[in-house]
Amino acid sequence: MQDKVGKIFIYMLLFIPVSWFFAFYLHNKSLAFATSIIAIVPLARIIGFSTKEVALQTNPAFGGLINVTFGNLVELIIAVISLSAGLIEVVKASLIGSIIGNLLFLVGISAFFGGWKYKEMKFNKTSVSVSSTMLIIAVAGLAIPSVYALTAVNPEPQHIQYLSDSVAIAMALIYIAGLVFALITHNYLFDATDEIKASREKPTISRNKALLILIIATIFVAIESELLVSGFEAAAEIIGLREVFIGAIFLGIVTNIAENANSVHFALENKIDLSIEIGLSSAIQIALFVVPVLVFISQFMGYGFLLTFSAFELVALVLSVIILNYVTADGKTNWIEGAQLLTVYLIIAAAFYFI
Amino acid sequence: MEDKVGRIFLLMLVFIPISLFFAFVIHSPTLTFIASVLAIVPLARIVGFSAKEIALRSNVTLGGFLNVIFGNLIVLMIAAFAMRKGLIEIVKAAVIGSIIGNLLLLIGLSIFMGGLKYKEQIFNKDSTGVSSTMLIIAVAGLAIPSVYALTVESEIHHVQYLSDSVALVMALIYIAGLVFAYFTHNYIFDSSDDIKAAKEKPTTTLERAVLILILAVVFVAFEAWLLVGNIEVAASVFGLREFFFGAVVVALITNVAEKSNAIYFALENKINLSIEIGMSSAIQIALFVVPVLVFISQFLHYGFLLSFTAFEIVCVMFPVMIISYLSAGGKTNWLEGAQLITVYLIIASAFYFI
Repeated sequence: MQDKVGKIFIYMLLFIPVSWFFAFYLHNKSLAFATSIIAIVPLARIIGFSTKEVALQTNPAFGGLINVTFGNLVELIIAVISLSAGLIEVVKASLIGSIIGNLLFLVGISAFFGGWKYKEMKFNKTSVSVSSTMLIIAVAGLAIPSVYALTAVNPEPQHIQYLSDSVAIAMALIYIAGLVFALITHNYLFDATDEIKASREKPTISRNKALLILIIATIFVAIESELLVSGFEAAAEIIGLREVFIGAIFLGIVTNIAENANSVHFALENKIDLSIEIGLSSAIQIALFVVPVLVFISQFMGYGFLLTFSAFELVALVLSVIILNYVTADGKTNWIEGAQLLTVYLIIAAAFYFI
Repeated sequence: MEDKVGRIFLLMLVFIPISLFFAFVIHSPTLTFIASVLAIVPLARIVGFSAKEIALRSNVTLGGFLNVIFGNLIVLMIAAFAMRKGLIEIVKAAVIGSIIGNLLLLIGLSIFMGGLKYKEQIFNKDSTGVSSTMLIIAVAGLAIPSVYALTVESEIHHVQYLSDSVALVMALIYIAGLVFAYFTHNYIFDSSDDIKAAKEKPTTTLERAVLILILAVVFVAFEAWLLVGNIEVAASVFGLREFFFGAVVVALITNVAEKSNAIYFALENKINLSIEIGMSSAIQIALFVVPVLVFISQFLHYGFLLSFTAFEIVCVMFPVMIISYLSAGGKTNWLEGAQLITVYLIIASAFYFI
């Protein structure tokens, strides 16, 4: 099954030259946008694969670090290029969208399809509960500066900038602390999960080859992201959707499509543990790693990306976290829980449509 | 270890004459403020100690009552003096800051330090479960009148009535919680070290304990008066805004510092006690100190209402959410402590700019 999926992904690489054809020969920005999105899907998978290969050939702690750093490379590249094009609100919406997408859509669809095959699926509550606490911290970090900016009587922009920076530092530090916890001091807590077992596979290619593939794929992702971002506004106009909606729902799902596919696949093999872990850890990485990095980059380059999200985005975020924590608190899932998560996702997506 | 700390606290009593010197000889408001703050820390400990000694010799009801009253006496005094001077916003900030400081910083430091020594520490989920429900009630009590005041175009009268009735309800559920813990369901808490610690033998005579208590209270009242009298000048000299000053500096010094023994309990692998101290202090502030301040303010017309800003409400909600989530787990490790401290730092840095 994995192989068949893999082959489909390889064919999708054809969309790289197709997107170039649209962009540089036909000069059709919206078609270039559509094809570049499709081209990014297999590239994200290749980056994930080669990162894992590199990680397997170093020590476990360093390997874990590489995995989490490059696991979000695609999101990071798209976000930085969008910021340099001034699409700050779109970037914010897509960050919120991918957190919500990971928590509700990815976990929901996995629990739903897995639940059709198995009446009840069990998972390791301990490692999930470490992640859910982290998730609440992430939400607090995104919410406090935003609420400050929303409610302060007349906040000086300089203060919001300082607050944003210091919160980003605190978030980055606790993220590093979480890595130290999971990889060094308390790695036995996570040892039992299949994820570590899976990462103990034998490597299939040499480290240098994996590094080369990683670098080439990253360059292609950067090019495709450039096409995606430059066609973004034109495409939004033609499709008739608002930019925020495309950022939050469309980009949020498309850039994660490989992870979504993997996670449903694991659920169908009765490894719902792994699906939930993928969803939770991606959401945490975006909030506690991608967001602080974007704040720091923006600080140096003067892009003006601050931790100020809209009240609606915050409410959507808090709701998703609360619901996910309730659903995962009992250590088992069934299809209705998956359907419930998907329902909340659809409700939030519908609201994003009208923003 | 406890003894060494006790000695340091006793040495800090030197700051009582020092504060007098700064206040009446040198006439320096800032130095007086600092000295009075430092003098209050050991006095708070002495008040707590002598109140416990008296409580040990009386019956459970009176003992519990004494512990609650004198455990919060200093906060109440400072708040009352500050309200009389019209510093309502600082009082509100100190209330919010004490709740957050107890829940996040005190418990967070305890869990973190304890977690560095022990890989995993286990606590009694049943007693923290009761406390975390109480905390949610406390947040509801603070939030509902505030949200009403923020969102409904209302007469100040109505906010006053709402504030009074909510304060009454909060005080009643607080008393109900004491009845639950001391009488009807004391077996839930019996197993915890908290009660065992309270069953210690008294170390001084009753007369001596009463005398010490009265003396300490007199000194506390005096130092609190000095502290409040110089608070505005000190805040402006330090270049801090009044809100940050109330929520972080005043709250930590007057309420959280005296409970620093929670950290020592964690290092002795009694994390249960540390969590109980932090949670019950936060509950006492919200469900006992706040209603008392509302009643005092009602009689003396200080204008202290249960109307907090939206930002303050959000800042209280996150700690309560995280604590109730964490207390459901039944065990702690250093990362959980670090997480609590992180949230405290995030909130404190936002307070800095308010």
